[in-house]
Amino acid sequence: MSLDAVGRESYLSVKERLDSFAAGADADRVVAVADQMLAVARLLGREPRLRRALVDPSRAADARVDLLRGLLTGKVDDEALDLLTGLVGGRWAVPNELREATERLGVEALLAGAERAGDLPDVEDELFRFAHIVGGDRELAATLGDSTAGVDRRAGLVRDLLDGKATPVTVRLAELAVGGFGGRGLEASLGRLVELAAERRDRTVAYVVTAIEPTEEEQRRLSGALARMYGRQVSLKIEVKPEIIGGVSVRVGSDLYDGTVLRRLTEARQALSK
Amino acid sequence: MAELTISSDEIRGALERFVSSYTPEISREEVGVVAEAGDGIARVEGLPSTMANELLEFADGTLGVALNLDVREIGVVVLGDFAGIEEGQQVKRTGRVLSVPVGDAFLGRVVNPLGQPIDALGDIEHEAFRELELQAPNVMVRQPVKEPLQTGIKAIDAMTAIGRGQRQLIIGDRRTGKTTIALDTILNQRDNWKSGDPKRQVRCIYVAIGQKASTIAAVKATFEEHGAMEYTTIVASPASDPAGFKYLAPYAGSAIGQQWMYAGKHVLIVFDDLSKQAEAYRAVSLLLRRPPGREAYPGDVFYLHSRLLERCAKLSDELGGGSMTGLPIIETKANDISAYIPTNVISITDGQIFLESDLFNSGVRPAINVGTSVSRVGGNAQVKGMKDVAGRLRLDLAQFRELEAFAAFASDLDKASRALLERGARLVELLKQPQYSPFSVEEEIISVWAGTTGQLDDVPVGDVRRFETEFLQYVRHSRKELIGGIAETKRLNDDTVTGLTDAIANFKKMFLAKDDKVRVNEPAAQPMANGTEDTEKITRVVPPKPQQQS
Repeated sequence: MSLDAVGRESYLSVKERLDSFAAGADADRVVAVADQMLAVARLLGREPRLRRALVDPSRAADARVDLLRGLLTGKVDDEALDLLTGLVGGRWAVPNELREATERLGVEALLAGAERAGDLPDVEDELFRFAHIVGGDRELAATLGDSTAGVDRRAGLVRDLLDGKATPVTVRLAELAVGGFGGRGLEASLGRLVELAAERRDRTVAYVVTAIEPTEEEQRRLSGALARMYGRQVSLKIEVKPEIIGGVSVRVGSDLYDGTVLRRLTEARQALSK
Repeated sequence: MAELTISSDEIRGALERFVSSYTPEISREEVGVVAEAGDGIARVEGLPSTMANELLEFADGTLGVALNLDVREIGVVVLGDFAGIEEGQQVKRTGRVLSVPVGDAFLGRVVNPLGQPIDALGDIEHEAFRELELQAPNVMVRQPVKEPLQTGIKAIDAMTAIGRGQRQLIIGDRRTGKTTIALDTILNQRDNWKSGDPKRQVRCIYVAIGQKASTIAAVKATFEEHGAMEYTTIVASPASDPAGFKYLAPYAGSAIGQQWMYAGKHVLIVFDDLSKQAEAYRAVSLLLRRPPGREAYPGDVFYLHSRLLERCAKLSDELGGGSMTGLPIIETKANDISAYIPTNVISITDGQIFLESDLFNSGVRPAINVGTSVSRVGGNAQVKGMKDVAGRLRLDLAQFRELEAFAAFASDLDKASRALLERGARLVELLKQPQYSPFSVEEEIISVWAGTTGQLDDVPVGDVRRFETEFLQYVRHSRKELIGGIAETKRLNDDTVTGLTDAIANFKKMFLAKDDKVRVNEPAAQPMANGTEDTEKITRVVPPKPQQQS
């Protein structure tokens, strides 16, 4: 999400409120609130005039909060309304930031629900696997990324694929990714959601590519080494690709450590062709 | 001698140790992902620490320049073949801000805008790398332009003189001889180069932007034929190059030149031509979705040219006194110098040489329009002798052009006007000069002296050029000391003037001219009055018949 300094401040204060609420509620309750938040985010996406009115800097915060209450009281739960009034009471540079912040808060709430249920590592892993499957199947990627088909239909396809195989939170997040999370494409959205899930566990994601499945011991050594380098726990996402021939490549955020044989061969080929 | 025995086990052991001690080194790289690619532009996600104008490397080894640094993505102009760049490929940072290799080894070579040789003469050993986007020298490190840069073209050296460190625009329609003026100027630096004197030597850079590859090859052949290639570098970005290359070529050329300028040397750089660069920049900007302005050029198209041309400078003596003279070329449409890009560049440069297609077609070559062409450095950049003789030339020619238009309607002219017309016609003839035949400054002074002091007034207009050539030959052979004197002092003192007057008088006695006076609108023929005609009478004389003898 790209919030500027003012927006970030408004968002962070409400996120604290969410965390304290999630710590004391049961998982289903948190997920229900998250669903309502995401529904409101969709509403804001549909209604530009409402969006503008809710961030209008020429009106007092109370007036804007009253507008929101008038619209949503009775339609959403009190906890969700409390979080939303917190967002609307804050300051935003542009109307779209409010929508993005609402959406992100909904995602955080979903992840908090999974955390309460103890599913968070599974959600993170399932999202990564799903992204991997989509990336590996051109037809599926093209269909899910086809903007001419309605979001509902594509989300239905995702539901069909994942229902019963993944946790409900994963399915909801994958549906959200189909519609584009924060304006990203499908794969970028899934990648970002994986990162957010890892961040919630206070971890960094490391994407590892190897030629053969690494042993438990090797994984432990690798994550230990990366944790020392980055100063926080690392969650490994391992992909086995025989075409890299040998070696290992690790990507953490934008940093790439590429020690594969394939890279060496490519470099040699480029050096020779010059 | 003892037999050397190494068991196979020992060898195997040693090899095993050798292999197991191999530790492949892995360094940290920053990578992003291509989100979108096409038309020579790629949008890259990730790479948060990319610098403006940094070179990025795509998966197939192609380089790109990061031009737009947006919130979530980077707009990259691909330098080279963009067919192999696909969505989802990894992109690496190189950590190198766009720069070219520079050095003396570039003389005599043809390179592309990245400084890579394209003339199949092997690698170029560079002294250093120089960034393309460097700020121009500031006010304190410059000094006024006062040293002349001889173009070898009489009309330019006499009327719109160019100084070392000046930016002089060459502007005109297609096929009016713009490139020829630039080439002549480069060819004219040959004597300076041969002299070996670093104060006189001028290193030349010819930047060809968006031209036909065959034209560039012809230019190179011309340089080689006239021995000018040894002090010239060609930066070539032919029409087939992607827009990114075309827009960078002038910067690459000026980076190579700046290296020499800061080393205290003199540089001449020709940008042929900047209108094509502006068009390439427009293409890049539109593809990067920068907002279009007038004629769809982006808002910073003025800055595109101003920051380039500001790099031409005459450095102060503390910095070695080097200079870089710029000859940008702009192509106009239908002689319209008030279009967007021409006015921009005119306002940036220190003067312009305006070439007109009408003059060109009527045989006045170089087809310089005297009225519109100016040099804001002017007399400061002329040698003293030239300044003395050419002072009236511009004025005379301007008056001639004015009167010529008037005389087309008037039937009768007074004596003074007639003299002015006669003089003007001779001066125009005198300033004609074929391509690739630059004059030395001494001979230019003698020619212009002869024209402006009226020495040619009694030479028929059609014979002026032949008279000039033969007179210069005569002076070269019989009165060498006159040329030597001017070359040494760079001025025309009284003794030399007397000598020249004397020489021209002598020469005229030997010169055979044809008669072809200018006839300015003679009055139409009238019928003659009756009785004034002379009529021949033919009478048949019949001889008397001889008397018959009876």
